[in-house]
Amino acid sequence: MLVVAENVKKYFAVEKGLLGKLLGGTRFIRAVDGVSLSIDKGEILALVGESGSGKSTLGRLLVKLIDPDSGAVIFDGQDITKLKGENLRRLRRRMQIVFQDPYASLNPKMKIGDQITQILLEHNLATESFAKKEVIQMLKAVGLTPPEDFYHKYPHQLSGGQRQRVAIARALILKPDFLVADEPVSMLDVSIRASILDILLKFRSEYSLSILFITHDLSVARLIGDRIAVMYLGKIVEEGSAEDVIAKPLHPYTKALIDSIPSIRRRQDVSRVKLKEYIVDPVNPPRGCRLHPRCPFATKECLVEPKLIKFGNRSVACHHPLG
Amino acid sequence: MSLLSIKNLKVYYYTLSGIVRAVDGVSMVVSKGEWFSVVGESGSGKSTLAYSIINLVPPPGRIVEGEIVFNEVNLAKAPHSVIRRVRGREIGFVFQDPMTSLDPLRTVGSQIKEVIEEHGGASGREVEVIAKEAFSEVGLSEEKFYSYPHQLSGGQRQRVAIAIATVLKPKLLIADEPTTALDVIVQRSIMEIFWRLKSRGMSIVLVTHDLALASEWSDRIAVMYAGELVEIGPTRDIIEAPLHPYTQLLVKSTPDIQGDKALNYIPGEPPDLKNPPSGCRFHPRCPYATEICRREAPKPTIVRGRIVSCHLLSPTR
Repeated sequence: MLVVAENVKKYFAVEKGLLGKLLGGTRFIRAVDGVSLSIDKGEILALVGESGSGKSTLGRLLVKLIDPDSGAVIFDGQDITKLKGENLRRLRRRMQIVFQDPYASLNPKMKIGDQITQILLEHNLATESFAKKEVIQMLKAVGLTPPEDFYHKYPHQLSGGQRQRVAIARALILKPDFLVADEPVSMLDVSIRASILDILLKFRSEYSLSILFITHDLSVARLIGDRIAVMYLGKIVEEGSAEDVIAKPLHPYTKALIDSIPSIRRRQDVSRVKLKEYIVDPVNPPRGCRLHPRCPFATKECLVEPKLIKFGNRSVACHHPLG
Repeated sequence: MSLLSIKNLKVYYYTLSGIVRAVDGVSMVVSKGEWFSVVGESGSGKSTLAYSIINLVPPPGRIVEGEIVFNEVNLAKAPHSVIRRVRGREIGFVFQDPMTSLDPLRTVGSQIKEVIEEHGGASGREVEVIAKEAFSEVGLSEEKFYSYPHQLSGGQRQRVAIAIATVLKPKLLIADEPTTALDVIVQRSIMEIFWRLKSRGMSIVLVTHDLALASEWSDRIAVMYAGELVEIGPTRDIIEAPLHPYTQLLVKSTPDIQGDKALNYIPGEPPDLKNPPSGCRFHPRCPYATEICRREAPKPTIVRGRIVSCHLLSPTR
């Protein structure tokens, strides 16, 4: 396994008002609340969840943009939560992240080619002329053709899709082993979305890049993921191969998500799982199974928290998994 | 019976760096009780089209040419007082972000009551009854009446916005990407509200980037590309036998949780509407483009019960 998370927790303190300060006691949002997962070399794990599920926080933990409150993140055998200094820097090159909004991560005043070349130079990986050649090749690989023209463009001269290609080129120029892609296609038009997925798949097959692909969209997760993990309120509720999870979801939450996704096919309305609407207070999530106030199958048992239990190749955290 | 009829509508933005032809010669008809969806990608002009119907195009944009006939009144030429009356009372509008139309400082109940008092001609106790009924129609419990917008979830806020937009029982509801900021489970419940409104005779115009969403709920779909409607037809025809090359490629590119796992996309990028391509605006991305496509803009023609703008399908070829 290249990346392993072991019972990782990350809580964020909530801003206290004056009253809160007087009364004392910090309140926390449990963004990631005891997550374990692993990603193999060359594997793509699609992490699916709605807004507020904690999926982006988990992504940031895995590349050490933030550190967990407890638990371990193990990268290629080393617990990165404890790494510092030169050892950390060396590992950083091997893990990268791309975000939903590429504009936010690009320097608006610098030619895109120079931005990428700089990375190679900073890491002393190439001479200037060799670096440029590498970058031209990379721009071509992410579909920015002719690359010689794109090299000299500034971010504002590019479309959203082209900027995301630049962000990917920049993240992958060092040939990292692991990439976290946080909603990389959510802002892009559907007509170009698949071209970005295509690029990620190409790099994976070319040199066994491992990817954590974070998305709110199960149909995108199915297109790119070897496996899918579904997250709800800080916890993974189901995990398995992409085909299994979509074709035969075990958790009522996964089924409700699948049933809600609009489809261009005419579909017979087979028993759709409908969740009740319920405003979740992230500081005070429901006790027991966090879905129980919304779940049509909830019983008294669900007041006890279900464990993520393995069945062969898949796991589910539910007292009443679907058959 | 047609309720809304748009003819050769042109809406341009006069910016310092050039004229943006956001809506460039759009014609469409929406019938009474029909759910009509306009599907387009970002920058296709679909939101501008929606806003222009109720004369809410923000400056420097304006309606340059064309007719917007609603209930036999041409809104493109009507005086402001007429449009104000139509807006709200006869045409309801729902925005992507419900906070655009909600006052953060007042309870949502008092906001819906105000709309009824101003336009509805009801008073006192009656207003309260109508307002609470509208809340229950969109699935909000009575206690929410006394909430402030920030105390509600995104989905609940959108329900409030829909209740306000429809409380005066307008004939037409226009919704511009009403669920784009919401999670899929909430999205479906919002669509179910629209469906209930439609079953009571309200016409719905849904503007969305999501072809799958439109296809699940609409009677007819219009596909918009670069300021023009390239194909208009019944939903199943558009999805199962699209005629325009753009529609064909868009259908193929739309990921489907039940469909093939193929990765399809359309090469190239949508054009800049300050300087759209000559001839057919899709020709630089179209796999079937020929000389005439580069030279001449195709005219909308009726093909197999649909309206399509494409030289490949024109009867003279």
